[in-house]
Amino acid sequence: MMHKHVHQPMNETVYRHTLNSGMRVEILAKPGFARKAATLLIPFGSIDELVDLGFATDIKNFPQGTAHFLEHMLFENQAKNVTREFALLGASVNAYTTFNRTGVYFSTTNGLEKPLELLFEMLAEVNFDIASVDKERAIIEKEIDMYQDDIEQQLYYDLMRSLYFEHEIANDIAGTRESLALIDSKSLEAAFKTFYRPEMMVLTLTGDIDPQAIVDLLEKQRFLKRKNDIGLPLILHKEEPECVKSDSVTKFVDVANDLVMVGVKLQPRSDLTPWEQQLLELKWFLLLDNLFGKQSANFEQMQKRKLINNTFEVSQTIESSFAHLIFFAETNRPQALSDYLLRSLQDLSGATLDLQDFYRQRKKMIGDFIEIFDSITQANNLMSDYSLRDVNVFELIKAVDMIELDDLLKIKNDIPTKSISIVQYRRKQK
Amino acid sequence: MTRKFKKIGNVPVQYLITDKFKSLIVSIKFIDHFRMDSINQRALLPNVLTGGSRSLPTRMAIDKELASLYGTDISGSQQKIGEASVISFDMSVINEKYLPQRPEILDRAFSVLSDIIFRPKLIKGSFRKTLFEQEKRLLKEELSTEYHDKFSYGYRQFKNYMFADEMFRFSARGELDTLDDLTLKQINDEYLSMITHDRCEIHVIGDFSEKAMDRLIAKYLQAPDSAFEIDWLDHETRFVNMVRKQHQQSDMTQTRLYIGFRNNIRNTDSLYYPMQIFNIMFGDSDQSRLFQKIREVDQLSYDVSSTYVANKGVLFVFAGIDPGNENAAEVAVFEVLESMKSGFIGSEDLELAKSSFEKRLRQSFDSPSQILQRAFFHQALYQSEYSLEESLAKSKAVTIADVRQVASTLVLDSTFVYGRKAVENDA
Repeated sequence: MMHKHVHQPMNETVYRHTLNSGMRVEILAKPGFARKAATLLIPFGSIDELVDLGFATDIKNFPQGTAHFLEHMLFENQAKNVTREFALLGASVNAYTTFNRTGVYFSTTNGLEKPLELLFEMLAEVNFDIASVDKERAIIEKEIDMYQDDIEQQLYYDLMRSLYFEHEIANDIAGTRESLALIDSKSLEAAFKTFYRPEMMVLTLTGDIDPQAIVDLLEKQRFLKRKNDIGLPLILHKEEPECVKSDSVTKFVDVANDLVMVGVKLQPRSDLTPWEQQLLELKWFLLLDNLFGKQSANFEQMQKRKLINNTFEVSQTIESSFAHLIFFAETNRPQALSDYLLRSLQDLSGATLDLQDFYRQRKKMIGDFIEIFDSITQANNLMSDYSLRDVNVFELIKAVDMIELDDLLKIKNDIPTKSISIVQYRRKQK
Repeated sequence: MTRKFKKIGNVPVQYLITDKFKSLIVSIKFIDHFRMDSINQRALLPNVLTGGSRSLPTRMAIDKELASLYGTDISGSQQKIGEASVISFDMSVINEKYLPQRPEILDRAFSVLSDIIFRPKLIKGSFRKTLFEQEKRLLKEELSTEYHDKFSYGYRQFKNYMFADEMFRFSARGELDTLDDLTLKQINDEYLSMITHDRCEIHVIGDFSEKAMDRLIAKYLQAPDSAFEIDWLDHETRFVNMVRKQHQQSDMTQTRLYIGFRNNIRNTDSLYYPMQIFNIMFGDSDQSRLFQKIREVDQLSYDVSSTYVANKGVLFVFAGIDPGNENAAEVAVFEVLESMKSGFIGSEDLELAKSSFEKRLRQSFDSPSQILQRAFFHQALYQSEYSLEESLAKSKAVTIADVRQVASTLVLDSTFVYGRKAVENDA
């Protein structure tokens, strides 16, 4: 049975359905839009290295970068040039890997049916022969080289390596040249069998779509009829201490302005349901907005002292196995900014929150969510993000209105005064 | 979608009425000639204006007010289009009917926008020096940030090189080298000039009642009458009698390669559509010849693409390559171009490029800001309503012979390499 729900006052219609194979499908109806977007999500990301396959004795260790390597391999097919086949159907296909998932996506202004068939054909026919694996390895090495020149990404990984001793979030999503050498046909095939299973996947679709026709078509796909007897894989993580690995790192690099990234390591809450966890992340967003956002006294102070500019950014990541806050800025006063942020974070117990600001920020959060639905791509990405966690984004948006200042005051005390790392990239003397 | 074009008071107004979107965008534009001596004034002025009005004297006060209007966004920036400098103030507001309890926010949002543009906080006729200095610092740091983005920074160096004697080399976001010289008096003068002398027009897209919008514009957004001719295409060019090549040293893992061609085919040219189709076949898709040869077959690069700048009549090729491979990659680009001038072009490739063009065009009508930008530019260039069907028909009529023809009009102008110099080649 397909489940249809019209969410008011936003007037957005969503269809939800679980196929016989267990794959979940979520369709956001956008009548009148030309673009149709599809994302297939596989819960295999870069932090999923240590995997318990169901028997305590069968613990597999996938080398760094396996999920990303596998993402590249999806397009390797002996019989056809997959991206060209998509292009011939008027669809452009691509894929990405994040810390917690692999996404294969395409968009088209024609029908979704044929490219969807092709997508599942492609998955049924993935080719792991040695020559293809070697070819992709060479391409990924070039990709890694390209990211070497991405200063902000390097800074981010330096911060992760300062915050964490063991957790895989500190590893580069693409892996390293050394770890790539450890990945071969066999390990890729094993990873594919472990994670690319219909009952673990979610498909999100957004656009002017006939939901029933799509579901009927999906039920016929060979790949989605595969049955698996083995249990679901369990991701393991090594024990991670509460403290940070290093308080501060300073590097001298080729930049025009100095860069500062400050990380606060929070204790992950593996006891929460996915819904509670996502709501908690929104609360953190509102808390940080209140304390350090553009309307805050801190922001005004930092601006006045010329510590920050428009690049200043605060973000939060709240996951079941790790959680942290990140402050980033380009600055001409890296030490003064680091000191300021460190001091304000350590003095938070006395800091007050502004109630009027909070009400405004809550309104802004709601408005910003609604605006996302004006873009097919952004709306589909938002759905993907939450649906893999089985969280209903519309219910979450409704729940924003119920967040109160007290909720923020409670989590404010979770900010540790010690587990803080600072990474500075200073201008190299020429 | 219904289009209306009219004058309200002195100001030409274009309405694009559609219930497709949840937000409404109002764009008020001030247009002058793009001149070397006013680039920085016009780049900074929108930032100074959005930094505080008489009623909301600081950026923070404005931010607070806009947040309470459900995250209404007001931004201002300068664009260079043809020989025009266009300062746009764009406001995006969520349609009240999609908000909890249907609050009334549109009128208030208009009044904030109006205050930002027409009622700035002045002291004895001048912007505040502290605000001016702050915005100047922020712009300066923003522009110098580009250095970290190796692709953009390299692109800017390439533009400086290829267009050394043309206005195209300047960025409407501001010029870092001369920003320090900018004075408060220049900003004051530019503001006066903008609100008294610039051509002003307004474009609105969203779900609204025409009468209500007429009233809001009449009440909040009035500007004096001003009319003068603007050329919306960039006609500056050079006769290429010698190909130029330069290598700028930088210690990067990857080397960036930039190649510039000219053929002076611009938006209004009869070969405009063939040029669009050619560009997609040449380098602007993952099925393109450049991508297939240089990334997939020769494995010289992770990314390679081409871009056609119709406003200027130029085409660029960009690639990221291993140091030392720049010459091989450059030769490969020329080979691909030669093969398109004289070699075999399959009809399947042509159809692919046309369908890719159609897809991009159709889905640009899914974005309110893109519709607005297209409608504005079309109105400026042709004084008429843009027709999607007409564009599609013209692109579908492109033949293989047309593609060959535009390929042979391309003249190599400059090659620019940004990255490490191979030591053994220096000897």
